[in-house]
Amino acid sequence: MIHVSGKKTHRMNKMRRQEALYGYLFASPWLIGLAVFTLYPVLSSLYYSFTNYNFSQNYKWIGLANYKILFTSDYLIPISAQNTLFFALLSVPLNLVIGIAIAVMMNQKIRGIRMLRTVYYLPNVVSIVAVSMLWYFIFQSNGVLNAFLGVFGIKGPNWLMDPAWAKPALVIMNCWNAGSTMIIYLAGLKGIPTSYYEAADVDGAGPIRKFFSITLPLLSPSILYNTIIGIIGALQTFSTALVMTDGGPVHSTTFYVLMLYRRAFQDMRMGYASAMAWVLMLVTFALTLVVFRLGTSKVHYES
Amino acid sequence: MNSMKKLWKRILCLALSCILLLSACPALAEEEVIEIDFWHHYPSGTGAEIMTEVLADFMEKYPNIKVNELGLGLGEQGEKLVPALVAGTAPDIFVYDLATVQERAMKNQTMCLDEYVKNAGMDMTRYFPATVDICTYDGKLYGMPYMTDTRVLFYNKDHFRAAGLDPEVAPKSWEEVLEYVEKLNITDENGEVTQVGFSTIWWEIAPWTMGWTFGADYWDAENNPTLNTPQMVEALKYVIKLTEAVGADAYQKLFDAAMATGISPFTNGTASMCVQFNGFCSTLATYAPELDYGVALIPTSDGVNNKASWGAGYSLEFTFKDEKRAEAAFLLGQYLTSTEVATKFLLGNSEYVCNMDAYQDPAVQADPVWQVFAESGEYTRIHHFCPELPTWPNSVLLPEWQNALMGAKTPEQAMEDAQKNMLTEIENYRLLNGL
Amino acid sequence: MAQESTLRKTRNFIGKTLIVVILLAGAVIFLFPFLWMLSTSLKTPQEIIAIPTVWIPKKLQWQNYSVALSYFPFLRYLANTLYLVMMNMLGTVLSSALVGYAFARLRWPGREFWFKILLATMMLPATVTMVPQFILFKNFGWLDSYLPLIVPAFAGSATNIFLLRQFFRTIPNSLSECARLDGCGELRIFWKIILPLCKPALATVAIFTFMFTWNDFMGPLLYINDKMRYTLSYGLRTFQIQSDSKWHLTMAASVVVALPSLALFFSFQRYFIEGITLTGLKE
Repeated sequence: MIHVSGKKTHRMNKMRRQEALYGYLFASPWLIGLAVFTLYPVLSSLYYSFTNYNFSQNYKWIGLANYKILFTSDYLIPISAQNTLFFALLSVPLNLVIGIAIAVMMNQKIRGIRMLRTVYYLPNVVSIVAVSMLWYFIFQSNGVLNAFLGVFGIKGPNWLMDPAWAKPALVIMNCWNAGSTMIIYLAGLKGIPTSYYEAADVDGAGPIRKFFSITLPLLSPSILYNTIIGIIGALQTFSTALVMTDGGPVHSTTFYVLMLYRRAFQDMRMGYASAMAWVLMLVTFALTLVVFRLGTSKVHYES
Repeated sequence: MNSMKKLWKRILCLALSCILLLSACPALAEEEVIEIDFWHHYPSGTGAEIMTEVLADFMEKYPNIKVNELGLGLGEQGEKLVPALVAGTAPDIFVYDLATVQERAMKNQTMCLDEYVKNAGMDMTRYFPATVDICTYDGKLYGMPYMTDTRVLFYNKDHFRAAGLDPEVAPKSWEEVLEYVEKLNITDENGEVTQVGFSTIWWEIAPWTMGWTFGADYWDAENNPTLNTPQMVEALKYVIKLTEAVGADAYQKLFDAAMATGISPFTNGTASMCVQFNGFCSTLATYAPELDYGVALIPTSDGVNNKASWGAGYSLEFTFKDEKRAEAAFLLGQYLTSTEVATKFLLGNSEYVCNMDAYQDPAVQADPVWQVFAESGEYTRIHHFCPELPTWPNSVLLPEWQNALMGAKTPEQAMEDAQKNMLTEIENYRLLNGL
Repeated sequence: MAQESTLRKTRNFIGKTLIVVILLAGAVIFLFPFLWMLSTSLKTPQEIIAIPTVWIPKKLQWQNYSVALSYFPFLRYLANTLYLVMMNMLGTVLSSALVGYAFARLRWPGREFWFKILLATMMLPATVTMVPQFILFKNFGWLDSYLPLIVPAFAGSATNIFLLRQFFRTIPNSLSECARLDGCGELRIFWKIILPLCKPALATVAIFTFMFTWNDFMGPLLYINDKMRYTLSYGLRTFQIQSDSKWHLTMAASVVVALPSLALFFSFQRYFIEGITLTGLKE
């Protein structure tokens, strides 16, 4: 008996080792890429964050000075951090809900669904500068959006010119890009075997029940992905604000990474900007870990 | 057979000695071609065409220099040049932001031009003094003033006529502007505002320009900030008054469209006056070719003193690769800023060149609009270079100005806060650099 | 029984109609940006700045397209862009699938650690790594070439690796186990069994890579010094930051540059039509 189980364990060990080897093999393109392309820039930026690097040869180690100023005496940091959190807290859940809603509706075998899906993906294809003109037009105080609100008797604000409403305007703009989350959910929906729905039909489950008991749990891997990517993206938002409002009016759309970009390339304070970047990374990482931990209990993988 | 062999041997010897002779004669060797890289600011369009022509002329004049050119758009130069300067792969000569020449000089990224200017006998007094000043760091020249711009008052002659105003006379003082605005505002029978007297969009009447026309300045002789002077507060109060005179509705209905396209409401006839830079003429040519407009100097607080305008622009800067290339690059720079070539760009692409002699050209002299531009150049100021925070106008001054315009703060409070923030930024910079 | 199924059929029909109505209403909203772009591209400059707003141009200015495309070497840039896009799609899909598979279906020591590192690499803004990366490529001697824009694609992209990891994990382990016990090599399992089941996910990665490379101007701007080797996204930028922005031309160029992305998206929809039924699964 012992003889047999010894053989089995030996065989399992061999398989384990083979699997581990394959693991590294398959992961090697990324691991090599990490070492060759990513390591140097990342470590450089970490190093710079402890210096007063300003793109010249003339810089020196200043220890934690950047971080100290970042956390105490830079009046723009609290403003930009708040702006970014506001944007993230609003846009991530919104995009989540809208993306799923659209994807579920798009998951039909209706004639012309391909065309319809392409239409919903259109905003992602339009270049940002072409779009900026359009959005200014929509957000005008007597523009399309306010005309629409006027139908319900709401007097819309002067969106992009009003410090209180510029951020919500950018959140709305961001929702238009739900097309990319839509196709991820669509891909996920296609992976749910129709047999599950058929079984539910036999049990007499209604569409809502089916959604919450089957669709949502089986979509959870995609939901986790979109949430994490959404958070990372929202915390780094800046190019839209740069083009649309340039951080204004009165710093209301000065997001953290926009400020970082300015500090780096316009004020030439690359050391300080690097410190900002690392603080952001640590905060994002912490948040992501929290989401993952919350997710492990809820996310269903079939494997 | 023996004689054939001898013949061949002789021919071979002759050939060998010829080759040896030739290689020992440097004068007979082919002349060395020096290749230089040049990054300019015309990716396409008329400017690019003129540049190609100009460079071809240059290479004809100096056949041993080959210029590899690349045109970068506005805003791209920074993104491409900064990494290149850091990595040492920047071109021999490039066109970049005039206002930050001292920045790159400070960091030893660009070449000092004093020796070359002296040897070439270039007369730097023939360029707008403000532009030469801004290219000077520590008493030495680090960039060639290439192109700049200036801002003037544009006014709609048809609107003036309709309002009973003399179409050849523009307001000279800001008080006069208020009077004109009252006459030029038009509301139609439905109560809709269809025309306003002045375009008060912030990037047209920029805070710093307004301040200068009231006698304010932002830096003292020791390079300390002075953002909260009484003159500045007066300027701010005036702009609030002007915005009220134009009417809050203007923004709601007329200026929004301008904000979207970035094209002044002056262009579609909704504003009778605006402050714009000289390049606005080409926008008008594209979008409103029929518009009958006049230009004048920007009004001032009392109409006589404090004449001022704001300019930015382009400089030619150099990186040192080796002596031959540096010399070739300098020759190109000298050529590009020469009166002959500057005039080409002025006439061909309406460029506001830094070479003052270019404005003596008869075509320019005959054009009344260019006369005003040339005069404005005498009063045009360039932003003071602040190493602690190069972006101080937009990141410190502008937000507080906007706060006051929106009524969120009093003008006094706003400028106090701007001053305070500026001092904080300077303090942080000193902390970071151990000064 | 018959009555129940009729009821269900009616319910389904109403449901489907409702969905279509909602989708069509939404479609108008989503179509708006593109229609605006199209409309502006066919206007005269005066119509663009006119008040009140001109929705439909009086006369369609088709010449805006030919003028816009003459501003930069369109066909040349198109060829360059297509090359870059093909290489990136190939490299990214292949490598991201391989690496995603390793994270999802293989057990190896340090896997979770490296996965966290993978996520972390997405969290550092590119602004601070841009210049050191430039210096890195300079030291490789890759400046003024397409190499920095192609080679890194073959190392996999973090977001796509993460995405495929999520999808690979939804396939039951039993599938792989059976194949392994049958003596199938890992590569074979990967290629013949898992990949075909994930066509929608792979199509998604392909679409994303296409979009990203097609619209990327930062990369070409930084690493190319020869204007004949630039891309369409770069050509588009030459309009967008001129001091007298010619909007009618900018929009015309934008429309042209957007069309291939749309065509690709539309054609890749065929991977999203069929769902998987997982028949043949030995329970």
